[in-house]
Amino acid sequence: MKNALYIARLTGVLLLLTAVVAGMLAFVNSITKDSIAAQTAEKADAAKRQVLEAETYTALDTGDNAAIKEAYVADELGFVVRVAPNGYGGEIDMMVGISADGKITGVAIISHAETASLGAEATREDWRAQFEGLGGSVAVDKDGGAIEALTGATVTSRAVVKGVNDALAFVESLGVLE
Amino acid sequence: MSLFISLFTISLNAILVENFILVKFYGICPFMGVSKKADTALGMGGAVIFVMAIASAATWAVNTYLLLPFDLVYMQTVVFILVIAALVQLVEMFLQKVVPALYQALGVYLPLITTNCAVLGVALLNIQNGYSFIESLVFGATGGIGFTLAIVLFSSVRERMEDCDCPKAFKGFPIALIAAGLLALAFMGFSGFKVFT
Amino acid sequence: MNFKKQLRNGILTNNPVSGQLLGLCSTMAITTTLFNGIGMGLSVTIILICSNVVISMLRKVIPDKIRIAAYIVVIAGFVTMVDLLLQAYLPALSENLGVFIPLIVVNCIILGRAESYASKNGVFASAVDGLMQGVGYTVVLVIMCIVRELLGSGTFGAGVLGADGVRILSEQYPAMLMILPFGGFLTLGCLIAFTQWFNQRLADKEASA
Repeated sequence: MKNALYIARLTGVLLLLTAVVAGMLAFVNSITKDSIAAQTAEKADAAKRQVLEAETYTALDTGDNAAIKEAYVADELGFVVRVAPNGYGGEIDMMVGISADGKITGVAIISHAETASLGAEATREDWRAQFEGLGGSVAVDKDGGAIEALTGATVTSRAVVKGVNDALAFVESLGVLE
Repeated sequence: MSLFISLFTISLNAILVENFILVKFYGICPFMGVSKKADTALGMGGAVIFVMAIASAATWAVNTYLLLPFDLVYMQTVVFILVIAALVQLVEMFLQKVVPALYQALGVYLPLITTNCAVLGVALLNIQNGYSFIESLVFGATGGIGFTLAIVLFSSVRERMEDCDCPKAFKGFPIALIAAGLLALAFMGFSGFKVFT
Repeated sequence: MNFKKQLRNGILTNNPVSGQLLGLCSTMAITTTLFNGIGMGLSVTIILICSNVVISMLRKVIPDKIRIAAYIVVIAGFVTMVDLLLQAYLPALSENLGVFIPLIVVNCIILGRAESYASKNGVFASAVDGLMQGVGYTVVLVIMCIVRELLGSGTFGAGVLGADGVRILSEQYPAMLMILPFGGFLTLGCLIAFTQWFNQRLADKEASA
């Protein structure tokens, strides 16, 4: 009997503690939730504008294409496609802008988990700028393409290239390129 | 077939390319703490493989069937660590009853698995990478195998290092860290090594 | 109660990282830029103070058998709070540190201080202990960041002083190796060797005096 009471006490204390912690977390979550959601939305929005500036972005149905996260028609100018290829440290969430004649207008990286100073250099503007104006399909220099891979971060470079190619192939498949 | 390929890639990555200890820096504390002798290292490794595989499966299920439907993802860290702590306790009780010899050998280090970042790390990474149940299970088990590989290799290095002559200030822990660094350097050879992509 | 002694303990003789050899994972994983180091150090310090205070307050209520589980719940609660707050108000830091923020839960320093100090001492003393140990951890992180960033990327203060920091070594000199895992092991090894040497000297001095 005494033993059962002791176990009940242990359970009770732990349960109470967990409940208090859960309550506090729910509270913190309720204050930060909107801010976090707004941050993410704002970032995606800024990325869209960065790769292809347009007045309005109309969402496109991406069907069951697993490689494409989101896709938008950017006025008459072209398309903005969100892809998330697997890099070295996880998914690289990125936005690719493609003009109406099938050329890349810009590449933006929304979030990533690549190694600092190596893969993370993919966010550098001068590196991303290499993609601009290319079309068809791209490849890193090691694979005989035009994109100079980041030093010590071939995996990341290849992942970004794959994302760009997925976006290009998707836009191509729409069959509306000039 | 594609499932097999994806599982093979995950395994290879977890064991060699993104070795939990030497590349990702998860679980350094037990790595340094239990690597003085090869046989304890092997025992610890076994326990970690076991716990990581079960923890991956359990946390995946908890996340998919409890946290996501009830919109409680912000409780992830708290819930995962509790699940892991409970699992470790179970393994400890099991070993104590069934394999007392191993229990004796691992002694104080078994409770330390709870605070092994590799275990919580694998649970969080499974979710982050969007793995399915099978993929999570395999990633957990092979991550543990990678841990074991590193710790066993390193313990053999360390056994020999005991007798070597090095500057007094570097004796013990610091020289061990540097040796571990060299091992990490060797594992870097696997980086960018990809099959079936 | 002796502030000076606690401070010296925290930073030098009983430093959580280079003295007690705890919390090594994050010490090596995230110390690639000064911004990460300071951010991580401050986050851990805040969590350490909060968890020390709460655990010290609850030390007479929590039954001995379930104390570890109870500590972990308290710590995980604070870690998640910091995680959410960082995501909301400091997204850049949260992105850089990634999974290592939730992993603070299993940082042995915090559980170690809860078990060995906060569970035996008063609330105020525990808060001071949390602060000192946190400062000790931060100091080690910052030293490692400065060394690795300088030798590995040739800059100082990336993220703190402008996005790329101040370039000190020109582009062709830095050894990328220092940013890679190997550099983490090497730098920490040297740092601990230095602490050992220093503590030994201190002990010799006291013995001869």
